[in-house]
Amino acid sequence: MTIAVGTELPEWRVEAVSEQAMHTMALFLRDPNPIHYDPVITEAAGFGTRTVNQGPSNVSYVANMLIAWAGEPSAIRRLRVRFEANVFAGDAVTASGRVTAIEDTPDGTIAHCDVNLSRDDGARLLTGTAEVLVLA
Amino acid sequence: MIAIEDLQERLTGLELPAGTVTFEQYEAWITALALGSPPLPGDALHPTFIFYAGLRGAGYPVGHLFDLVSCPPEDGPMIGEMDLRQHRSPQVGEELHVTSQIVSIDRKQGRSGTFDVMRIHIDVRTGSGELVGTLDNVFIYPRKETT
Repeated sequence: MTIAVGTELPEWRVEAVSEQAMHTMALFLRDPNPIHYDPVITEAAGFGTRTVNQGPSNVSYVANMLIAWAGEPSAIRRLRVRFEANVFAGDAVTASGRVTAIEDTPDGTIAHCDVNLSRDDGARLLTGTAEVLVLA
Repeated sequence: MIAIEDLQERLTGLELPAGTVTFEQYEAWITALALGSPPLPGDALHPTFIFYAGLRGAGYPVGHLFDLVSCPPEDGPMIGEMDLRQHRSPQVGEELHVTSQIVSIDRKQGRSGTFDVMRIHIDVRTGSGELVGTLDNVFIYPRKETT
């Protein structure tokens, strides 16, 4: 992999965030929060009529981008994110990123990246940074 | 609304019950489908399984994090920040040991009203003590006058 400061990471696209996937993840995580599965409670809580995606699932989309770029899940050494806005069922979202620095460490070369997740209407959903081991 | 001073006295530095989790192949397969993950090599799990280990492997259910701060799920508690460090990929079939500690809890005011911010540090290790990953999570608890 050839990288340099300024390298844009290949985007990772989710055409429509799945409500059924939210149900799956709620079961998997034993997460009782009804905003992930009950539209009535979601609306009563002020989030609108569509269920809210689990925050860690939004992080997964960014991690998917990094895995696809690095070629290896263990290459992701650190992923630090702030959740800026909710992702709702049916949203089209795109993960993107850019290399901001390259560091030689005893473990190998680390690419420091800015990463984010955005919705098609331009809403910023998640921002953060990642440290990715550059594999030979 | 519960007093923040009471929460801080009761929760700051509190070590939460430890526990273990072992992820099975079918769980890796189904979550990969749900999240649209790229193919992963061998028995390696997706990096977000460090987070999932922190939830599933803790010695308490997710709802306990709501109960601790007297914030019912219908009030819309959510995660605000996540700092995930992965020392190596967790593996299918590997028993992971999870310890967690509340670092701090503070009350803030925002456009949407009053909310509490709780920081939790989590270590995910193997049975022999090898550190697989760590998490520093920030949870947001909206506060209503009646809670």
